[in-house]
Amino acid sequence: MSAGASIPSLRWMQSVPPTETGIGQARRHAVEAFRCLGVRETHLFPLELSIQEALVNALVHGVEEQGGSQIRLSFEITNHGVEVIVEDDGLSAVEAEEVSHPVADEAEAQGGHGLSLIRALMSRVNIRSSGHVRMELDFQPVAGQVPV
Amino acid sequence: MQIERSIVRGAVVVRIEGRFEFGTRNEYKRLIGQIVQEGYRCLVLDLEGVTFLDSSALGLLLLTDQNFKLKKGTFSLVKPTGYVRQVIELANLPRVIPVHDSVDEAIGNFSEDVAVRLPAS
Repeated sequence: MSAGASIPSLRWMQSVPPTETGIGQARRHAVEAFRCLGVRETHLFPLELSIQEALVNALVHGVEEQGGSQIRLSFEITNHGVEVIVEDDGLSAVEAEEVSHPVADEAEAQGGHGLSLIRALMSRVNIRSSGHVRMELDFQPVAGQVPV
Repeated sequence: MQIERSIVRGAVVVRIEGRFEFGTRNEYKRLIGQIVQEGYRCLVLDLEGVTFLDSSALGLLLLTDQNFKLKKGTFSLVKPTGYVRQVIELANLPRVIPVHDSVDEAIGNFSEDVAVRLPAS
């Protein structure tokens, strides 16, 4: 596909079982979908890692800590890039500064690199809370390069 | 994730292959807990075979480093490659945990008779 060609917007959505196995499967399905839809190989790792971090965050903070029961993963591929949205129905907002990688005990809590990694890999990260938590991740490849 | 463990000159060398991430964290935690209990003072983690690494793994690497520093031991990483190396560098881990090109380089001059290992506290 030439750089000047226009592609229709491609959308994908999945409800994610709120378990470790569920988020792992959802992540794999998303990566397979990216491949089938022609997303470039070099773009897969940052997308996969960002989805991983967002899903784990939704599971640990949204479901396990805040009593949520649903996680949803969706993405849209356009000419400009890929937008990924991870939502959970946990009760309270996850403040951007508090988002950290999931830990089992206090001693592990010093990691906290999850959101930093997402911010380093994605062009834009937006976290919204209005009754549920919604993390929007934008991946825009370098200028002149379409994602597929 | 597959984990292999060996002893070289009194240092523990752990080689990880596959995905080191949230879903495989418990295996790693169990192994490190064992190694700490056994009183080893030098741990080298060979990451050459790791294909995916997330922030859970980064947190565990930092925790491992803490545990070994508390016991006046050493912890280092060997040969992370590709995207795994990028993630480690994005997190500025090399500022805290040494990263080497080979196990030999990581072990360096360390040599300890297993009989004189410090008892686990």
